[in-house]
Amino acid sequence: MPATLQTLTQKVRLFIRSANAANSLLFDNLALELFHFHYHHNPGYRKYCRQLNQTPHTVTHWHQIPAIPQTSFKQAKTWLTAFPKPEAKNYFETSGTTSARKGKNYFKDLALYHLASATGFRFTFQKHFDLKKKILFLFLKESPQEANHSSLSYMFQNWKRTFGTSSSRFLISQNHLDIATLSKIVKTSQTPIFLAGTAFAFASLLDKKFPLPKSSVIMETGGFKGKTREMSKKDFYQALRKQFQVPDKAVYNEYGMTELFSQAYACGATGYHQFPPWMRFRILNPETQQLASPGNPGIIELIDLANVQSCLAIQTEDLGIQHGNRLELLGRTSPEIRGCSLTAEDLLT
Amino acid sequence: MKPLLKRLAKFLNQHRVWPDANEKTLSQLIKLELGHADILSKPCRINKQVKLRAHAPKTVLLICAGNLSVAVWQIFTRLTLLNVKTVYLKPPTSPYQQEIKKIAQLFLKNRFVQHLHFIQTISDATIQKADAVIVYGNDSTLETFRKRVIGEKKKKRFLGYGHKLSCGIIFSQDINPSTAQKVVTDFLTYNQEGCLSPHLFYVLGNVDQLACLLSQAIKKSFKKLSLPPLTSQQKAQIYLARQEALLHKNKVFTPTDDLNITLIVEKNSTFKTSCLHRVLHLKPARNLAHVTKLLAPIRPHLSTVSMSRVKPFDCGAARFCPIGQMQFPSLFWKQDGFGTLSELVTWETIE
Repeated sequence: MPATLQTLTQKVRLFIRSANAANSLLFDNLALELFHFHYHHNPGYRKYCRQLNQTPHTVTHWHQIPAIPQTSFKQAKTWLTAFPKPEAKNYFETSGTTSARKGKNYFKDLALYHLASATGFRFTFQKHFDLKKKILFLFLKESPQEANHSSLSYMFQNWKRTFGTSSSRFLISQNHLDIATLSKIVKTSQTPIFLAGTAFAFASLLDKKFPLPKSSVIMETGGFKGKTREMSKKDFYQALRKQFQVPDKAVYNEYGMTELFSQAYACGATGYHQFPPWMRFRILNPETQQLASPGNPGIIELIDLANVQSCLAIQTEDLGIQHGNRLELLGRTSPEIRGCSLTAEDLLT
Repeated sequence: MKPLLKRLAKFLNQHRVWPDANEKTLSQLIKLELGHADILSKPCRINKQVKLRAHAPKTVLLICAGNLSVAVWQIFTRLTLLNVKTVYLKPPTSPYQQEIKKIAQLFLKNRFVQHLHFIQTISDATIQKADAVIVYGNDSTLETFRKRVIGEKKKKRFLGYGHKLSCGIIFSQDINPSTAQKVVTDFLTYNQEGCLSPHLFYVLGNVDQLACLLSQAIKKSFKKLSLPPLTSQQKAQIYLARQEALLHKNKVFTPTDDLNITLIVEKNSTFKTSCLHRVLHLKPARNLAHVTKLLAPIRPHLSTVSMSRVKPFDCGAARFCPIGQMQFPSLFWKQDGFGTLSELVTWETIE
């Protein structure tokens, strides 16, 4: 029986649910099955694969699955989903901090997104929290009602629903960060807090002090993609530790993107990113266009089985180094300002 | 003044900065900028009623962010013509730091400036000492220093050079191997760094033909150019730029068969910045009126337009030059459209 979006979604759901027992062979088989499905049902992806002379006949291992460049999601003319356009319910949109055109990832339902983000949360943070008890979340981000196309807002909302107390809340609204409420909750809370938000939102708080209750956790995401305020990760984490009075092991970075349904996490200023069992990465050597040998930098390509509705393999615009099954994220490949030349961002802002 | 001009001309010739630098042209530059060759040393009569005198700054704070040596030669030559005594120089953190320091030290060694101080941080005390502040950097850097200078009690000159973009135009009848060689010079001198380096060339003719000629010219001269190696980050950017080009079904020429040099022939004419690192875009355009429209979005940022036949047109560029000359601006070049000396002096009017 040919695979359908429903049957594959069900298979991936099972894989994620039994992820502790997931093995390499299962991943490989499911990845190839998804690749076949995307090749046949995702017109934009098929076109790209054909440009590379890759077909289901030539691809026999997940390493060989063509990764579609992230920038493709920014092309309005390219339809990059494995379902017909009229069936799309909504889309996630990139923040557009480093480019004028925003990338869009269309979807027809978010059940798998919710499962992947909640399971990923459980994998990463269960050592910090007793997940039988509810967690007090504070999000330095707009709610999904306000940011209807932000995947991060949806992820936070899902965490709040799955693991959060009723007093968990979003602290940004109408471009305004509610510092007074943050300060009040932080001062009065008797339980640990999970404080999450974009690095840029955290950076805007760096001049103030908010000592968090013991055992609290901070999660930042996004870096300073293209923003004016640049800071090394080491300095940024040092400032966060000082500002929120938390140890290094309680500060996390989330590596995710609009084009993906799953996320990876790194702990502390020098920690490498760990991926959930339904997600893998590979490092491409731009010179040889082959896999880079471990320890050497290259372009990060991500394979996310939860991306059933779009493309399972994404070529990012980020640089990284492989250390076993962990990733050292080096940052964006985006052009730095050199000499006195303008970057695209400078032009467009 | 004359002995100084003579010495300066000799010095500049020794270092092959400008072929036309001599006592006469230097004096001409002062006259063009300030109205009279002696106006810096004594009041000069403008008409029966009025005399003018220009007072040059004695102490200058110079903040260089990522500058190439060409800009440092320019600025120190101007400071010498103004007889500036003391320079506080904040060198860039770029790979050119040593070269820039070396050039500044040459001016000190040859007594064109009396005191030279390299500084790492710019304190309020340094700003207070300066009569003029010259800043090269991005818009936010310029704004930061502009505010600091405005806040000063002591009035001082502020000259800010922001980020700029450059491009070239090739006319249909000029598509030939000689033109290609000149385009390579514009493209690869200084490793496509600095605001005079082209992001793209508009071709008012057969773009593919120019790309083929450029490829051949690069193949011929690549080994002689001794270009610096690419970093991992740069390689990744180049790879992604090539991938994006292929996605849009644009042609990618790789004359060295590796990531070293990339020519992207695009169908879309819209102005696009290059990721640099020796990636040049070639785009079609119908005529100069069409190019004017295409350059409109970057009009405030346009520095130099090199042309296979120089026909200045209203696109906002501060400089037009023949192809092959982009990286070698004349002694008389008014960077960003500013006066080279006039912006730094204060005037005394005697009626």
